[in-house]
Amino acid sequence: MSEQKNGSYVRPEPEEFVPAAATELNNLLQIVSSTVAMLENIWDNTPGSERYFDMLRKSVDRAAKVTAQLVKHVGGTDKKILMHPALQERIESPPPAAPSSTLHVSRCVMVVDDEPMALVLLQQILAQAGFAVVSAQSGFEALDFFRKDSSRFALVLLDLAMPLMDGEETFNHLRAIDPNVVVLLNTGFIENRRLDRMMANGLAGFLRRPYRPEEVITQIESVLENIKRGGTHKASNSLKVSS
Amino acid sequence: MTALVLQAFEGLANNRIFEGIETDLLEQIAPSVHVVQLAEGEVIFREGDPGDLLYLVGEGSVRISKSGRGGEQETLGVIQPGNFFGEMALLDGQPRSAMATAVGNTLLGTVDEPTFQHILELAPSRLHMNFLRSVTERLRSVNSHFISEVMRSERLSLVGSMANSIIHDLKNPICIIRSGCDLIGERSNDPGQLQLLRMMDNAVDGMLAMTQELLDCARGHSELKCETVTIWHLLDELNTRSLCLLPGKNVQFAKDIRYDGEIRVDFARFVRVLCNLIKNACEAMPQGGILTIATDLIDHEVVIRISDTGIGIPPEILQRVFEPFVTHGKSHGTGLGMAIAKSIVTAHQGKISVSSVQGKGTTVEVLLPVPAFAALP
Repeated sequence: MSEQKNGSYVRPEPEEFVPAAATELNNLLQIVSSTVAMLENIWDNTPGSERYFDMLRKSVDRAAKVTAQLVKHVGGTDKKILMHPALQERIESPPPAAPSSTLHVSRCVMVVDDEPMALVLLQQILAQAGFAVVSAQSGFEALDFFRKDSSRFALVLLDLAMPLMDGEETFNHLRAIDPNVVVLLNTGFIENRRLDRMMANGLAGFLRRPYRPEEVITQIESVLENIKRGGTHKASNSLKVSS
Repeated sequence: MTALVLQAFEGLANNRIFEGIETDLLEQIAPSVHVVQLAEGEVIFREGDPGDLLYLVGEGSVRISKSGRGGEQETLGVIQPGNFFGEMALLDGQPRSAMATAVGNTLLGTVDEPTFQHILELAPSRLHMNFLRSVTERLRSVNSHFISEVMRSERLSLVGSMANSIIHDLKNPICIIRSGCDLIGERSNDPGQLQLLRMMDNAVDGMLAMTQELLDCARGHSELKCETVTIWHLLDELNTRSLCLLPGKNVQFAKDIRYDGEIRVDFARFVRVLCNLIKNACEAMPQGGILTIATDLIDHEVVIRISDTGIGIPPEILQRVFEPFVTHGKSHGTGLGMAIAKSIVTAHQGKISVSSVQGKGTTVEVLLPVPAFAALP
């Protein structure tokens, strides 16, 4: 922060602050969106409460539209979802109702996020969808788990904005351990350039926060299904990702 | 010419304006150059003063400024030793267009108009060359300064107008989420559901605070609106805002009030800072613990301490705890919250520091000057 004089204070430059604020707002909206879904799941159907849930969902969507403007305004990607070109073809088609192949694919997902609340919610959402979940609260912890047994994880769901080692750095270290690692990035803000760079380095996909719980499940399922069928997302044969 | 003046002139003879001019010519000029000593902050001339001298900087430096937005002096440039200023008024006979102030102890040589004309006659081409070069350089620097200022203010106003509409557009859905939470909460007494609602409520608080920060950021400089309040009033406000939530988090509250007099603060901002610190303290005690607020008066300063019995902060994070969060990410614990806290406390002419022992807890200490100290018995 710049030098300040008494009686007034100076904030970080807008171009530093606004992306950070947008990240934070989208993270918080993500928490609201997830809690609404969780709550509705365990709600015992009191008559008349559907409209409240409906109201909550609509408000989250409205707020998300506003933060999306903010993200776009400061050079963040306005893409909601992005898949590696090699995996792209299947993202529009719905995931199969049940695992169709006999080939064994692990259903273990590692979730990396420094926000404990986000971690708890993602864990519950994924567990409900039938995934085994390992939570890591920092990039360091994620790498520790991954180094011990990288074959255990079908996919890593990675946050971008984390203290001391961010998602991109974590991603690069993960790839150094296993170049075939499947990483989905989920964050409320990422610059277009940065996303392109990570996609070119073999990121399997990206999902912008806030999303509904079913959206992240759909994306994870379709990535895993695709990989099971022999799809690949390696950096070596990646197409150029358009911005 | 005294020895002192000669010695002083030696520094001035190396001035850029004399570059390439022969020594014997300079010796002719030396007696007409007057040497002045100035102390830090001394004004050399003001905007609008008649301009009749050219100044050569020997030691120290000189700030050239012009009154800008809100009547504040905006720096156009700083003239370093070996350079000169004030030539414009001599050339066009207009009053001074900017203000010149000494930065640190400064030694100047002044050249009046007849002497200036004399130098011009002695070494016309050389002097014009030196002049042109210097003026061009200055023009360039002022230009780029001006452009970056314009760009900055454009950026600020762009973000500002955007932030205003964001606040407006975001507040509605956020408030609806809050009332939705309340309505659903009234229909439930299931602890699991109530916990989810509390998480949602916290997230809503976070969003409201962040929209406020965005608005402040868009305004760039924020002036404090200070009022005098007692420590009790402050505690009462903290109680309604965040302390009342402590039992639900299994956190006990302890207070140690040794100063209960007045403080002078921007109440809304200061309360936000303390709420943030209380929130951090609670997050450090996920299994519960004790949160202590202590106040005291030490060496004419009001001390406000917020301590927890939580997990503590690792040393590598502790030393970076006040850094703004571009590199960090989140607002809790290590992020933006602390950077903003520091900025706001500093604006109150106060200080903030953090000490922590891992596994034992963290203490944040805020020091504020006592309001109207002289009025105290």
